Amino acid sequence: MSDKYKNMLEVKNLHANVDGKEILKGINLSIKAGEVHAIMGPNGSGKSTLASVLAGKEKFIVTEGSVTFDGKNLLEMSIEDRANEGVFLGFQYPVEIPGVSMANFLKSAISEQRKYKGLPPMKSSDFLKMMKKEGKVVELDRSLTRRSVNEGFSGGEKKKNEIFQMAMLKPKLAILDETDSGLDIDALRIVGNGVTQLKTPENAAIVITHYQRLLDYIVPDFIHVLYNGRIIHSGTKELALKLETEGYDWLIKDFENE
Amino acid sequence: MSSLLDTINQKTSFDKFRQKGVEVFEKLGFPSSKVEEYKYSPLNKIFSEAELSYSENIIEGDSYYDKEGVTKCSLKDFSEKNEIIFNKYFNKLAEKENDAMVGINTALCSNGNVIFISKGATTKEPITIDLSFQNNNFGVRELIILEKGAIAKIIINHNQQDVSWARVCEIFIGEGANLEIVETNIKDVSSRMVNTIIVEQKANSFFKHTIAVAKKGFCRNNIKVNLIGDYAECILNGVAVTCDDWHTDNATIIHHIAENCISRQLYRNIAKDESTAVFNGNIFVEIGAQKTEAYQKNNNILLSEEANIYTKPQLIINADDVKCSHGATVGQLDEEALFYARQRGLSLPMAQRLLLGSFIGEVLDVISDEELKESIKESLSERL
Repeated sequence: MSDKYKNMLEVKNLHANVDGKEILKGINLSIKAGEVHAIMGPNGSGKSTLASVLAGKEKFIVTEGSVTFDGKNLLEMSIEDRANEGVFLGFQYPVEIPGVSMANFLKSAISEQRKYKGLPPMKSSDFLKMMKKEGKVVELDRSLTRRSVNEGFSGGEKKKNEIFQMAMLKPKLAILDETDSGLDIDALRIVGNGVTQLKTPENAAIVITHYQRLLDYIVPDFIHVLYNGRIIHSGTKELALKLETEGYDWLIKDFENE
Repeated sequence: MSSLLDTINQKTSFDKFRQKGVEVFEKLGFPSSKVEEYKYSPLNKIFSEAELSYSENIIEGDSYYDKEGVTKCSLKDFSEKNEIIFNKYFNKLAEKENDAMVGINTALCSNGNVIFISKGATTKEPITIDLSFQNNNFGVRELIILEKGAIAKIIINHNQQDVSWARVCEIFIGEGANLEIVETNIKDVSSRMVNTIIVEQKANSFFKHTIAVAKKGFCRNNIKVNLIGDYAECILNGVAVTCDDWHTDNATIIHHIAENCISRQLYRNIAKDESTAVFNGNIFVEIGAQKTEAYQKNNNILLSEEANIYTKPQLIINADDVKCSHGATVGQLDEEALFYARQRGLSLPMAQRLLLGSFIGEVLDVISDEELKESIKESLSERL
């Protein structure tokens, strides 16, 4: 079987707790290279938790299930190893790091990634060229890379900056956690188009969102509805429109009647 | 004490001040933990009277007189060659202090540096003072004077090995003058010291003081600023990294006396191992000091269970039209920021170093000299 048909990410019966409370109650999800999956669902359904668990956030405890990424056991890896294997999390609330320039932050990240892969350090001139090129993808003001990480950035700039980092780090799997929340229509277009431009047959994305509007720009192959820690329904892109007009209640009712 | 005075060569211009200094010290003695200001840094446990001594040989480096309005020389030489100016300024701030260490320093006043910038003059290059000496010395006395409209940058590097000592530096900033001082105490040496600077700012003047401490032993910095002229502004920043059993204490007292003055303080500490870091911050807004803006912030990071952080912010406000704020935090590194950096591929130790660097970097960002700033950041990072 060629790689094309193998799953890049295989989540099986994933359960996770935080502070003793079970949030994920048996998630199953398979993603192949080249696919975009959207995860939707009401507040508190576990969408962000799923993103955090995949990235390895330590306050979440996995109690059951498995996650395989490119054939490797993801759950055994440290946060940084997951990142260097190619898992990228676009944060809902990107963190400000005063006194550390965006350029230096990314330089460290790329150098760690290359070290992990056994590659020689990137030449400074290549790094600068790449920053210039990828900055254009999200129409990022060049001065932002000289400023401290996310410090004093507007909400829209922070989200664009997440996509910019994604463009620089070239992950195999990008998980975008409500990257659209709080964006105006221009920023939404830029972020959406940025993600679409970065799509290749080799990488995949999980887009977590509340709203259908981001999916006007990032067209998903599959949409999953998460409710109460489980995926209760999956469908194709048309599902988003139905959710937008009818909400989640019809799905929840069906699920609870079962 | 009095017998010690007998041994001093009583032929200098400072002699007339000594007796008063003795009286202050004899009345107060080395402060114990019962003295509020020294609660967390009791000096009676650090020093003993037996150590009290002085030394005249502390001046190293070049001297020059009125080089385009800039004079740098020893206190002794200055008192002889510029007697009128010396008499106008010397001890004028120190004599008002009811402080044992200022008292003992005045009693044993031996020698130190003077920087005098005359009216409208500017230092082209920053003036560097390297305070290195090998003897116990409680009489290190310095004087910095900026006349009206003068502009100066001064770098003070502490480098004292195996000594107990006290320094008092009186700083006069004239009308519209602008002074930046960067003080470093980051050499790999051990000492027990009390470093006091007393500043007077006239109208429209500006003062920026940044201090970086990462040294063995005991270090108390007393930073006292008196804003006596309208529209004066000061920025006081400090950072300390403490390791092993080191003890560093930054103590500030800002007196807002005139109207429309601004003071901004930012002090940050990182305490490792079994070390202790202290911040004592006082703001006094006097009656009539309307339109005062006084801001004070102290943030601390504890890197070990055994390390100690003490912070004591105090505001006393006697005017009704003012903007004042103060805040103190003690904590560990931000978990979410660590997660963020690691999610981008940085190892845990790398992410920690990055965030600690960011924590102290913000304090040092006010330093105008980029090269100096980077070298201080680097030295401090090596301790982390």
